[in-house]
Amino acid sequence: MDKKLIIIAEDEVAYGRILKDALENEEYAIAVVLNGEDLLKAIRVREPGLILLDLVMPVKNGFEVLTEMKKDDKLKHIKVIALSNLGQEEDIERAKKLGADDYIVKSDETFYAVIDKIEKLFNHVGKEDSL
Amino acid sequence: MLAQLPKTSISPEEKLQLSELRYRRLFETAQDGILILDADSGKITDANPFLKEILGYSQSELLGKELWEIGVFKDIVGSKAAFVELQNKGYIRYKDLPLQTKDGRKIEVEFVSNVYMVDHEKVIQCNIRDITDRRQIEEAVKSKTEELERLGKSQEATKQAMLNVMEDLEAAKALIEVEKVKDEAMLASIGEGLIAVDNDRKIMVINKAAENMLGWKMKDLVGRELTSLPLEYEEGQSFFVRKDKTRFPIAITVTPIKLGKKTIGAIDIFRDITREKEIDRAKSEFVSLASHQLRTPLGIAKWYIEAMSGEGYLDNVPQVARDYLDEVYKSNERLLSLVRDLLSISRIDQGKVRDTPELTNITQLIKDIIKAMSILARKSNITLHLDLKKTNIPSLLIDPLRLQEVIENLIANAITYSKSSGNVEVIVDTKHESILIMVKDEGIGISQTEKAKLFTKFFRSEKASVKNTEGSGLGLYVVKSYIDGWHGTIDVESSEGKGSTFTISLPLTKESDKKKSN
Repeated sequence: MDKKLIIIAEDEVAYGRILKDALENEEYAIAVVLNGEDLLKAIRVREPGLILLDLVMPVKNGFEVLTEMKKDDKLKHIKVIALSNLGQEEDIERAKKLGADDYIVKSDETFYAVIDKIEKLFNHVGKEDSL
Repeated sequence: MLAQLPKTSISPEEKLQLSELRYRRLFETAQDGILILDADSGKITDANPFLKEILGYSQSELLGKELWEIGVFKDIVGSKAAFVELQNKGYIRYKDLPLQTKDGRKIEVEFVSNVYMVDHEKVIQCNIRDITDRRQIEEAVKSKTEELERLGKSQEATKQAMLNVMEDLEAAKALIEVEKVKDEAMLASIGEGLIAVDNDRKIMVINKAAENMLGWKMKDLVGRELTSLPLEYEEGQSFFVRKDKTRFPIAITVTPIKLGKKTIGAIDIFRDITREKEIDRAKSEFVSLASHQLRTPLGIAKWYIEAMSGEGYLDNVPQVARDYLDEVYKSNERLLSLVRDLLSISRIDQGKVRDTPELTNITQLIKDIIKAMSILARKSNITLHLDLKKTNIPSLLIDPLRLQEVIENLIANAITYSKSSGNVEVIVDTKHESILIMVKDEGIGISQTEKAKLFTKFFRSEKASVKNTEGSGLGLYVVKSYIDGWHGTIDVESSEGKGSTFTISLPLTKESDKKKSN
């Protein structure tokens, strides 16, 4: 059975690595991309169960990705957690308006609180899928 | 003139008799008083009836008397010298002689004396004419004349006053002209756009700046409704639409024009805030980006240290290494907190803090906060207590997240600045349409001199700095800014070495006020 796929879009390698290390197990397959452009390519090849989306990224930023996904009927239902160090209310609101299911300000949360949140959401997604 | 008698042949004697008769008739009937005096002695020899009537003396009182012996004349003509003069000159005339009659009546007379010969004897005839009436008329005329003159003078004065008023008016007009020129210069030179409208919101005047900003000329707009200048409203920002249909953001103030107590119109003053908006956005973007860039490396450090500990990678390293890493972690947290506070302050200073009020159950909110913070308190040997003074604390229309931030901040301070052990109490009460939230500690306290500066940016009390080196001095500034925004108050009572009580008072918003606050 295929593992459930989580794609992490993160230009900061250190963030990408620690998330990958913590989440990768028998159940989840983790892919890390470094910009929005690569993310869009990747999700069109294989639809992930969850995207962890950084917002400030080169080539195509997280907001642009969300905008494109929202317009695309094949992509707009994919669960997205915006994971960013942009912490202003406008940023959070904008990402949510564009379709982000949750928003985490990375430096405001402890690492384990974030992992917990991701797993909960993903398990929920999993249940939905099995229905 | 005497009537011409028919020419008859009469004797000279008869002629004389006739003449005598005529004179006598004249003498008896004349409407002038006539006195006949003997020129040598000055004694009165005859007086006509009219004279007696004028003076009130009888024939017997007059005849044989010298003129100055009669009371009526004695003060006036009363000197023989005058008589002598008359004898010499043969003529004396007094134009107006005031006399008093026997019964005390005052009259004025014209007195003429002539000396002439009758039957070879010198005779003086005094003609006395009562001119009292004439005098009175003359007086009346004179007084009327004077009155008229006075009137003339007063008319002159009136005329002068009128002239003065005219001059004043001219001066006032000149002053108004000057003021008008000044006003026009001012209107023309102010950078703000100005539109004056009457009570029907019809445009009366627009200034040069408004013409330039809007692209319309005053003549195009005067008399038109203000609404013919389209005003658009978007996300809390007003825009004026130019003649060419482009638009610009404005800051606008409207002031009524009052004439006495009556409002006769309004003045709209506005300015184009495109540039300010751009600067605002640039500043906001900079702060946002700067804080993002600062947070990223700090956030990575945080997660890696947490993971290192959480994954058990530190289990086999010496305690001292774990302590060292703990210090690194704490220091990193401090920097993160500082960045967060700086971001908050930047937003407060820009007036960009978004208030999202909702009906909030204060009791529940505080219970949740205390539950969450108890763990932190226990680490410092502090016990958190909740004291609800009333059972039915009403809900409050307030932004719950920011109120939580405020209360957390106060409790965190209370824990941090407590002694090695003790109690921190949160008391909730209501008083005069307000909810009171008190956070009471038994800690180090605040000195009287430092109390005043407590809520200012970057202020840290001396003792607090010793106790906790990590504070940024921004927490209470943020707290106070939020509370000010809610029209509430925060006060502190403190006694050094014994503890502090921070009291927040938040007004209970009435249903009718909710719309206003929105």
